[in-house]
Amino acid sequence: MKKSLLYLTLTVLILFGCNTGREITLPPAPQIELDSETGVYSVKAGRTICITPIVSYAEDAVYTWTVSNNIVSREKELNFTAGQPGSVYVTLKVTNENGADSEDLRIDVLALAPPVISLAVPDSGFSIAPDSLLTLKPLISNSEKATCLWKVDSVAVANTLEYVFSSAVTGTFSVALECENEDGKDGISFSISVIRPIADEPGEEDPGEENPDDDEPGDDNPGDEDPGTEDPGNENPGNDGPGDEQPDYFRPVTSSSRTEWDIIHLYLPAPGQFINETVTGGFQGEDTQEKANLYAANRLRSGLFVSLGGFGGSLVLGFDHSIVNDGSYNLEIKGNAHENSSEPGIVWVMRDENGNGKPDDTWYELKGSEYGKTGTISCYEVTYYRPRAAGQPVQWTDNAGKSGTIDYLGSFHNQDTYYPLWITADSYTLEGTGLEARNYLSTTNTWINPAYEWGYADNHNSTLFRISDAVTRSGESANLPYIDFVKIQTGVNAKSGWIGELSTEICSVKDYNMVKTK
Amino acid sequence: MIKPFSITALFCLFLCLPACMKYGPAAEEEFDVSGKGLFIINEGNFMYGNASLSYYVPGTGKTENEVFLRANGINLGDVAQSMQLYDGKGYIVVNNSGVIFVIDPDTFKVTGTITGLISPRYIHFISKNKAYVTDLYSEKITVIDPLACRITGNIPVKGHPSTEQMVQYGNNVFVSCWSYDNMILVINSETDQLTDSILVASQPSALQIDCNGKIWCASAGTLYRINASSHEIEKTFPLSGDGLFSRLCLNGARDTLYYVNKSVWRMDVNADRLPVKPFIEYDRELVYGLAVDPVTSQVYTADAVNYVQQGVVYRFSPQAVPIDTLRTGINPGAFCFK
Repeated sequence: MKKSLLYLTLTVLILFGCNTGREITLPPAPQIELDSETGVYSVKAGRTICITPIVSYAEDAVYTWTVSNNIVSREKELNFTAGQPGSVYVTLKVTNENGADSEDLRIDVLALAPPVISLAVPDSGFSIAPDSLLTLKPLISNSEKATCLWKVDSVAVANTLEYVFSSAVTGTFSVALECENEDGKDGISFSISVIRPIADEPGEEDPGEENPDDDEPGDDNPGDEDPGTEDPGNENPGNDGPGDEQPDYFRPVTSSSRTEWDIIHLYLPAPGQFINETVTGGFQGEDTQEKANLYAANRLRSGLFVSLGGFGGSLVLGFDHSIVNDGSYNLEIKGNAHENSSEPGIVWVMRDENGNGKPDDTWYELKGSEYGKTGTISCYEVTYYRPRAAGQPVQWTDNAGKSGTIDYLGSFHNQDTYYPLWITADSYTLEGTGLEARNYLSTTNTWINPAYEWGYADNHNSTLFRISDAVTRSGESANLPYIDFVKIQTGVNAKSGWIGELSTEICSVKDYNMVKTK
Repeated sequence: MIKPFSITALFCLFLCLPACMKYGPAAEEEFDVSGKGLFIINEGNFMYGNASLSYYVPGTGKTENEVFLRANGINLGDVAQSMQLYDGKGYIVVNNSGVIFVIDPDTFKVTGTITGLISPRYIHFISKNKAYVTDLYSEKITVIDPLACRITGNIPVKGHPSTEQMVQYGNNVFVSCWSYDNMILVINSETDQLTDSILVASQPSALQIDCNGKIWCASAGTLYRINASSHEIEKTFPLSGDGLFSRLCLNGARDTLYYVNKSVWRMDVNADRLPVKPFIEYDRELVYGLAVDPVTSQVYTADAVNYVQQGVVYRFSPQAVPIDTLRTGINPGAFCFK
């Protein structure tokens, strides 16, 4: 009996010993090594990617590739055909009798990046004189590996990104540009009229200018306001001011009068990083002028800023009473300026001369410190062109022959477009007084937008305005006894690197006379 | 005799009179909230003097806002940056007011103020009598005596005008130099001497130290794992494209790292690559603050909304299931667990 117990013990010991021995000689569990160090793969929409991991110790192993708990493959490799842009999360699990290993990986499906051509073309095409040069400099995104072809009247003329057009003969030429890369292609076409200047017929067409012709797209101004009112009558400067004989529509302050503005007549911003933007801009897809006006009203009522976008963007507000010119400060306009961050706006005022409650009379500029200086341009006009695809900058041209872009700053404001959604025309022109830009990049690599001395909205340390500063187009004092409407217009056409375009922001507009007497 | 604090308080009252007016005459409220809680530090807007302190007791669904103002009758000041609890006191660093308020974490009453700072950002405690304070606009780290509420000295850090977050390993304090800089400084906390520096990519900000003695540093688009004893960079984790690391947090066990790159991500500190799938997915919103409860591993994310209205803080389970939504002050950016 004792002997058998000894045998049993020995057997048990041997058995255990054997087990241990077998475990040591067992191969290890599978080990996955992905063919991407980060575990992230990228593929363009519609294309196929093959993911080929190296799996060690994979004898008789079973592979399972799952996407959202669905098995998509049991092969050793995964052939993945990409659908819509976005991220797809995949898990690979490799199992055999020795164990299992699993790895998470991500496939980023990227949007195709075909070239997109943007060229600021006047509505009715270009007009030039014979033998003059027209340099066509389109902005082409995704142009790195693209091939481009220019054609004039269907004849190939160049395969460069830019093209200089010239013709000795008159006539209308059809010009086309097509660019193509592996993801797709884009093309534009437009006309160039070569017109001989007619020297002895003055008053006809302005001869031989390379400028876009004089057919300004003023009728593109959206909204119910007559865009003609943007142009303070040049024909009747100054002396048609508040005459005694004319009927007077003065509206005194009553007990129910509001210190703040009463109605937003027109919110017409230039393109900009906050326009259409839902996060800090607070837009909700406003697609009509009425909705845009309501947006501006709601923002201001909540104490939030309204951005006027780049140069010329404006906001027209009316009060429920007339604001009297007492020679001192009468208006308080607050923006979001602080030190080294001023984005000055020109302030305009209007008296309701015809008493119809609409801002369809004459705008008078409130002169500020830059008024009359050489760098200040009155009647400065900038035309903005709708980008032809999402994520593109907005091109502009001005009436001084310059051009440029409102840059698309996707990492900060990634709405599809900075061109106001409610503007249906493909280009629109904004007009106003232009100030010389003062912005610069400091030695510490920050952008500085310095303040101007006085007289501008959203300008550091300047929030008060005098109606007595109102001037006529010819520069004389307008002598307005009171005003009913206020317009603020972004006054600088400039941009500060990654901070983007200079855009006047408005937070509140008040009758300062009422503030004073409170 | 007038105590120094009374003068400061008076002075602050004068400074913020216009801002205070909407609250009317500020009466002091009595709080007594012993037990666990979470302070939410609301930055407010730069130059508006509207920073505030919120207090939340997890699970109650109730957030008390403006507790500093309500308890003390004075405003917290301009840009509240961070808060630390040490030895039964709360230290709130108010950046643009150049002040650190010391409060009783149960009553929120001010028990002391530390002034004479230029633009303080973070406080790190070495001992009961010594703490370091980093600064956004000064080429020195200020040494303070937190008990006596006074400055006792400074550590010059020439060429580094913007010192930011701090972690400690043994006697060494590691300091990130943020604005337009690319260094982590190493300071001996016994001698208060600068002893070494570690070069990283531009603008390192967040620092954490994990259970393995590894320092994690977020520097724009790169995450670093640094050996705290050898000061060597062991591994870099670059983000692709325009990704940016902001906010780093560890759980209570310090073995799981959380970070923000648009979404909130979670990774094991022993992992050899970044996670491929977000922990809490955010598409357009900006996560302005992040915190992980050291005990429950619940996750808090702060949303500054549009930077001018009340912020929102979301509370998630350790498995990223949303639990609660809190309304806070303006620009909630930092948290402090009690």
